[in-house]
Amino acid sequence: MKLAFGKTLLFIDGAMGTLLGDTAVLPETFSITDPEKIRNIHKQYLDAGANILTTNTFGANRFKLSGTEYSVSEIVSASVSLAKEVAGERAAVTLDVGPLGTLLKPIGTLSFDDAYDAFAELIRAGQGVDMISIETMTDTYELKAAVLAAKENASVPILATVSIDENGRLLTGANLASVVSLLEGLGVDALGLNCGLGPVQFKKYFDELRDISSTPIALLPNAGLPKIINGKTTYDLSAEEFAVYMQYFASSGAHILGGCCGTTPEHIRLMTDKCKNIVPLPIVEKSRTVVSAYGDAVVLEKTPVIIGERINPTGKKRFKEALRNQEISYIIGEGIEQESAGAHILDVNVGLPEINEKEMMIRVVEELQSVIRLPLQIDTGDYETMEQAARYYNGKPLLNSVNGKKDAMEKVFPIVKKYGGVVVALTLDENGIPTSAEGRIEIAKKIINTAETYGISKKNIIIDPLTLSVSAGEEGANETLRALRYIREELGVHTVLGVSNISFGLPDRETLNAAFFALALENGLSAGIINPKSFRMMGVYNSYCVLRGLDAGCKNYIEKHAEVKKEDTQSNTELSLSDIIIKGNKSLAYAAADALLKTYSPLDLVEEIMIPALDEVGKGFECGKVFLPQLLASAETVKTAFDAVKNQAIDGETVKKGKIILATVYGDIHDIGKNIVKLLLENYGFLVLDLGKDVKSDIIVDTAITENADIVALSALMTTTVGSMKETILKLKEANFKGKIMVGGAVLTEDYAKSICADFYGKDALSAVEFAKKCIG
Amino acid sequence: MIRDALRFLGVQGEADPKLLRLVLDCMEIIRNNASPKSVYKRFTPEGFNCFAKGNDIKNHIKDAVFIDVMAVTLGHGVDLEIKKAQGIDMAKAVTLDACASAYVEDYFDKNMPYNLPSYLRFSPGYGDYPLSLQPALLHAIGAEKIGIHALESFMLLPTKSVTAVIPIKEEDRKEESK
Repeated sequence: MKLAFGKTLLFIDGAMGTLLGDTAVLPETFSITDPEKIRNIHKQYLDAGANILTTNTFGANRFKLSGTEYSVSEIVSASVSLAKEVAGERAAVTLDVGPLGTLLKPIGTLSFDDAYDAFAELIRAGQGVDMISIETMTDTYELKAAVLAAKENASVPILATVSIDENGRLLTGANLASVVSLLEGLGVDALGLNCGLGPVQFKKYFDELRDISSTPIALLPNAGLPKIINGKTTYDLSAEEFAVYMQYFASSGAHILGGCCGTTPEHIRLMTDKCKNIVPLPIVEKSRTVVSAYGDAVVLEKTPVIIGERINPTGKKRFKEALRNQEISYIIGEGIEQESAGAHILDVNVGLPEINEKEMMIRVVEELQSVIRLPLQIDTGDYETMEQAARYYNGKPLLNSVNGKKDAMEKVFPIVKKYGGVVVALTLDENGIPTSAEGRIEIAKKIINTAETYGISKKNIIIDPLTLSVSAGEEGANETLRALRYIREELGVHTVLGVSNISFGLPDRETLNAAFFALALENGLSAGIINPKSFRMMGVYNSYCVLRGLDAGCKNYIEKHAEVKKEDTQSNTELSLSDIIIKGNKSLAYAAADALLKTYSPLDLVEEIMIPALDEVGKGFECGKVFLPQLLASAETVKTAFDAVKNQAIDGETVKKGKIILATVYGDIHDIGKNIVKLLLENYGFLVLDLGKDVKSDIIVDTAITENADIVALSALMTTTVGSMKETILKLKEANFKGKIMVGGAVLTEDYAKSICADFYGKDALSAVEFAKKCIG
Repeated sequence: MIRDALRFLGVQGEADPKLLRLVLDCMEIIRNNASPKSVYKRFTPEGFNCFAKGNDIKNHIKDAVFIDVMAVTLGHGVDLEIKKAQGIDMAKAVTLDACASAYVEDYFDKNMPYNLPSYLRFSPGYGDYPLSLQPALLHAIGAEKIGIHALESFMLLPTKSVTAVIPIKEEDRKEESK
């Protein structure tokens, strides 16, 4: 049956689970064990007026079915047959796809690919349906895996609905703007809300959806809010009231209506009765430029946004070193700092000839998305890297970049179309960069027109009219600014610039950058790629927003600039590095260490000042005068001082000794203890290879052997995971690992450590340092 | 709550002003990033029977007329803040962690049925009550709806989540109807 989404009202059936009641077995198994029960429910909804019947496959995935004797394909094909048999020619059948019931990485342990495979298995088993309903999703990443699986394994229309809480958010944090941008980017045929709340609570979020969505909207609320009476769940809205709300939605812009938990054939009957003669409102195309991630979406509007430029190796020695050594934590640190400095989007460029860019990009994107809610700009010249990053990205990414070259457009536009990104377009082509604004505008037009032939709207393009160094030609800046204004005002497309290029080859670059940034903002710059850690650049941005009336009550400006004077005076107070470390005054450590490096050699500074100060704090900790946060504040301070030392040392490795492999064992995802140990070991100058959490024993063993580590340090928090610690140690011994093994973690004891053949049990981070000193010295 | 957070951090005696300030700031971050949710289900003693594994839980619920199983969580936002802090400032990270633990315990206590005292809560992992019951308990009360999942190791996600069994006695219910 052909479904005309958005043209006529469509009615999906109501709850299946509610009619089946509390069952001890998985309700999907009834499709095989008691098909009459399911057939009967389908019939009731069909007679109630539903013109789409939902298959009994909500939880029919390999994870939820693992406890049953049935395979995914058995349950799914039986369920599809039942629904089709009842529907006949009177109704369409939609394949129901619910959450997997297990959390995806980085929050949980399931990989994106495994989630995709599980959805794909269900979808492939559901041949013959008229559409697919991906529903009750509470995590955008899982939602993306499901939609991609549907797109790549079936060719029927896709409806995707999410379940929100009273604050309008998914459980993993996304708001509706993020959800809509993701789903529209992926090209679903209809989107909306189901479960979670009743129609009363849906109203506000329906209004929001209508304002931002260019796609048909589906609403399948519960029959009100749940109430527990004598241990039984009931819902607070009568079928009559439910129908009244649904009638309102139908006449105000919804296109697909149905019910979720607590709804019965009676709800659906009254709903279809009230709505059957309503002609749905036409869908209005919205021209919003949106990128998204786990949390809030970033919408390009009147207020310009900041794209942080710091995650990029170009011209950065320390960053290159971090990439080569796979020091992901350093790269993530750059991200966190830019977020707190006020960036709205982070550029991610990890291209370096000697590393595998694709692998590194995916890893950095995943790690960044585990701690930062900001959208990312995937910055790469390698199209395969771009494609893979777009696939594994959680949200709607900003892709950097395409340009006017035929080849580039042929490679990039299919990626943008498939995964739904916003793409940065550089105004250059086979003939290079035109000197005049007019030449760049022509290329911009060519790009926009070509994109349209791929089905990419201009709202998903941001034009970069290119900043050239003003030292190379005095008219360069003028042409860029003219192009900027024309593109924004006449072409109606958003703009972006890498601002700092303007000053290349000139002294005091920040002064020029700041002035050019102000001019660019005034000439229609929508997004500035800058260093958000530069107070001067952010000062320009904050001031622009105030002066152009984009900062109500100067709130943001006051928040960011009220403390300026105070900080200046604070940093003038003279404290010795030793005192700074003992007091844990991290912000003063770099400058103090840097000053001392004029008289001390790097190694002397570490051994004569930094380590003794840290030792003193450690002694205080051991006798209970200093507490953990204070010890760690001092350790963080030493770490900052170390950055100054590293910068000074010709070869960063000269101050590092030994090699310690650190990991939280497989199955265990609690890593705060491990990270404390890492910080302190590094403070004492040991080279630590941190393998992260939930690490399989084989990876630990392989790394220990190939790296010829002095010590392997393992952490486990739960009684259930010390088993995999034991297994890891056993394998290390089997592999004839020559170094020492040290263990720690909340549930471990000295005796237990001995019983699993560990060489040392560390009761806390300081004892781990002591042991390392003994072994490596 | 602050007192509990300090206790989790191992602070004995008076905390110095700088440390106290850190704890207060962290508690504020937790409060701003938490989206606390709770779910519970009431069982009859017979209905609860399949979850009464071991002697300790049987003792705990022996005079109960009903048994509530409740789960609360602070949500993923709190985990994200703790993880983020680990990337730049471990002192803040451990303090956030302690504050979140104090917060989730407090939230549970405030949501106890009939305002029962917190010592009546009994969680998997206490005494001989097996941790391995965690998934079944979560499933039985529909904790997936508020986003709580158990890993294979029976750790809960979001990490600041608590499940517990609470015995309800006849007099507790009378107390309520007064």
